[in-house]
Formats: sequence, C-alpha cells, structure tokens
Amino acid sequence: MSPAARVHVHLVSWTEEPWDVEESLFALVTQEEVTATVSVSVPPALETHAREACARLARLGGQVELRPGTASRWPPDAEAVAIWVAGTVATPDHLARALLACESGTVPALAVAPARRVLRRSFAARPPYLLRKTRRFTSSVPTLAELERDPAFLGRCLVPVGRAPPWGPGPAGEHRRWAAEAWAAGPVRRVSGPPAVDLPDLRTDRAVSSLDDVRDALAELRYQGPRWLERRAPLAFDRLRGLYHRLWDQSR
Amino acid sequence: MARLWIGIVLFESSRAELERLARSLTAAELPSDVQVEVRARDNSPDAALEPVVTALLGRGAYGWTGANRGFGATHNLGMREAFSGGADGYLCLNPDAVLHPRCLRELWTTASLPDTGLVDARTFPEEHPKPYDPETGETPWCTGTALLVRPAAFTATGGFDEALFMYGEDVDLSWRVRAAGLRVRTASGALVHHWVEHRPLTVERELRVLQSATYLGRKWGDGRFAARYEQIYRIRAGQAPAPGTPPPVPAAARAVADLAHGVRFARSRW
Repeated sequence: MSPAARVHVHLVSWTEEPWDVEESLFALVTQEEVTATVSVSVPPALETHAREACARLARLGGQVELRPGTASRWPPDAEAVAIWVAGTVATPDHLARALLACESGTVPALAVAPARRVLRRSFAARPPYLLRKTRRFTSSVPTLAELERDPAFLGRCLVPVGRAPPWGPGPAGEHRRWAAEAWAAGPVRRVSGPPAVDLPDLRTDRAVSSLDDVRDALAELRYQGPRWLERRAPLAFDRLRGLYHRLWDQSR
Repeated sequence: MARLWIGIVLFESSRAELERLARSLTAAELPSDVQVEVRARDNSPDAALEPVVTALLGRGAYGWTGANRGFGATHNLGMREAFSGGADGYLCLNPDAVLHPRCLRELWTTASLPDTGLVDARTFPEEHPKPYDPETGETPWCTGTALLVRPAAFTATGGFDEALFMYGEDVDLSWRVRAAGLRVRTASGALVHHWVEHRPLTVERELRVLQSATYLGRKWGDGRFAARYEQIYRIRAGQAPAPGTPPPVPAAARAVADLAHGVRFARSRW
C-alpha cells in the first residue's frame, strides 16, 4: 500500500433517514491510513442534510474529501473504489486493511471484509435503535451469491479501480449488476480478522432459506456461545479457555 | 448562560490522539446558551504534555496531578472544582475519543430532561450493547467514555468511588445515581468515536477488570458474583485482589444493580 493510498467511496442513500447518512460519513471521516474521497448521492429530500453533514464532518479534519453528488467517474488517482449504502459503518482500519488485501497477491483482487448484519428499528427524529448485530459467515473465496442476500453487501467490498465498473450504482438492482461486472473481472479475496463492517439489515425476507443462512447462524453461535458462558459461568469459561489454549499450544 | 465543564484525564496520551480530540472540540456545535470550559488533568509521571495541551486547548487548560490517581479519583477532583464554581454539568471525556460535531448539543439536550443525573453518548463505531429506551433514553448504566454528570448527581453521590482505579466505576456511579432517585440516560443522537476493540487484552487490564468485578459484587451484595471473579483473579495473579471489602450498599438500594449478566452489567442486545 502506498503512503496515504487513495480510496474513493460512493455513498448512496436508499431512504430518507438522515442518521444513516450521518453515521456512514462519520465512519468515513474517521478512517485511518488512507486518504478518501467520498461522493454522496441521496434522495432530493436529504440533499440539504447531506450537504450540511459533509460540511459539518469535514471540520473534524480527517484525510477525506466529502463531495455531495454522484461522481461522474472515479477519481483518476484512486487505487480502489467502494460503494456504501447509507447506514453502513466500519472500523477505522477497514479501508486500509481491505486495500492491503486487494494488493496482497500477484494480481489485484476484489477484497471482501468480514461483516455483521445490523437489525434496526426506526424512530421519528431519532437515530434508528439497534436491535441486534449478527455475524455473517464469509467463505475464503466469497461468492457473489453468498454476499448479495444483504442488499447493502457492496459496503463489504473494496474493488481495485481498474476493475470497478465506471458508473455509480443507485438502486439495489444496479448494485447487483455493478458487483457482477466487478466479480467477473478477476480474483476475489477475503480480508482476514474480525468483522470490520456493519451492514444495515435491509432484507425484506428474513426466513432461513439456504445453506448460507445456516452457516450465518453457526458463525453467530460460534461467537456468542463462549460469551454467553463467560457471562453465566465465568469460572467454567476461564478453565475451558485455559484448557483450549494448552491444547492449542501443544498441537503447534 | 449555562456552564459546561469538560474534564479530560490524561496518562501518557499521544499528541496525535490529543490533536484529534481538540479538533473535534473545535468543531463542536453548542446551544447558544451554553458556555464550555475544558480542563485536562494529567496523571503521567511528568508534565511533558503541558506544552501540547496548552497549544491545543488553551492556556490554563492543563494541570499535572503528580501521581496516577486513577480515572474516577481524578474526575472527582475536576467535578469538585467545577460544581463548587457553579458549573451546570461536567463531561468526563476520554482523551482517545472524537466527538461528533453534534455530540455536545445532543448530550446537553438530554441532560436537560427532568430528573436526569447522568447522560452518556453512544460509542461509535462499536456501540455498547447495553440497552436503552429509544424514546426516553433511560438505560441501566452509563459508560464513562463521554459521560455528562449533572450537579444533582454529584451532590447525591459525591462522584466516583475512588477505590475503583479503573473499570466499573461508571457502572457503580450509575447505580448510585439511580438509587438516589435520578435517571440515567443515553443520548441516542450523541455519537462519540471511541474504538478500542483492536487493543489486546493485557494481563494488567484483565486483572483490573476482575478486581473491579469482585469489588462491585461485594459492594452491591452479591457474594457469589464476587467470589467467582475473585477466584479467577487469584488464578491469574496468585493473590487476592485489592482493594478489600467496600462498605456495602444498603439493601434497599441494591435493586438497581444487575449482576446477572457478568461484567456487562445489563442485558446485551448482541
């Protein structure tokens, strides 16, 4: 990764929820070790808010340029492009880690970060209340079919600029088409580490309908199980953890 | 004009971290009837941060304590000074935090609701999983990252329990404030960037958590809770945790405490 590598993020809002735009922008201005440009495309009712939010958050002085409006083309000096649906948030190291993953092989790859799905409830004039965060299973070579059950899935992806389709997707259908073009153009790589991105759960159908849903449930169980035990029986948890580490150390 | 004091406790803080915090304070939007004063108290071994803090936060903002007194005891110093000088609120603010530009305004609006003793901001991007009422903001306890204390809460409690060096003092203060009949709330519109998930769990940090858990169990009348964490502490450290036995909270006040969810001290949303 070059010093202060440049990443372009196109933030698109599918709703008129101002807090989603605000929180995504806050997550973007607090990204570290990359220089980001952000284009912001929102419904007409949110345009004033988006302009004000860009001005407000620019005062925090992060390495980021916020530009209300859709980019007609990706900035020529950008190394990679991401498409976020408003409501997506990420840890401060997300873009830097994803960019490293893009560049870690001989051929630049599309990077997919581990993510959680966030179920929210809306309240008038207040931020959405977060009801639940659940971990998603991510294959070592993530497929588009695996990801796209979340309409906002592109927020997990970072696409080398040479592979990024040269247009900004708007509605959900365009996100799938944009992703299909990007997927077809080369390798895909999973970013290692814990979940870095929280995606708003915008699914209309939450029924378990595929093996991927079962894998998601197991990924969540694998994370929550030890934590449940830690809260309920901390001593038993501590002993099991010690045993696990002894066995793990011996097996290496 | 209402007066809001912002107290920041430093311990060998980095310049970059303080610059980010200072920028966010400069960018903060405030109600026109609120005046802010910022004070940083430095628990570092020396006063090397003085020129940095003075340059960033202004002359008179820096004070060196001369010893590492811990989070709660140092904020108590600040609260005593602030409230004895007529402040209407004292914000405990972590030096590694970044305030969203609207954070102070949202905190102040929520703090102005009747009977409010404490208000915390929502941590971002990893929100604390403890619940809050989306309408009223009421929450079982307030986190200390960006915690606004009203004078009534300080008068009722005397501030943080200074026997807790670090971890759990915010939980304890919240419970005592609630036991005194005041409400503790989360300002859902107040975002404070505070990202600590990537920090490794060092032995020192783990021992502090275990020590605080043991202390809280004893103080709030749950001997089994205290014994569990004390046992883990003994396994880790090879000795009993200090401090020893705190003065127990009166039985009538214990109903506000939640020791059924481990060291999360509340039901977890995730």
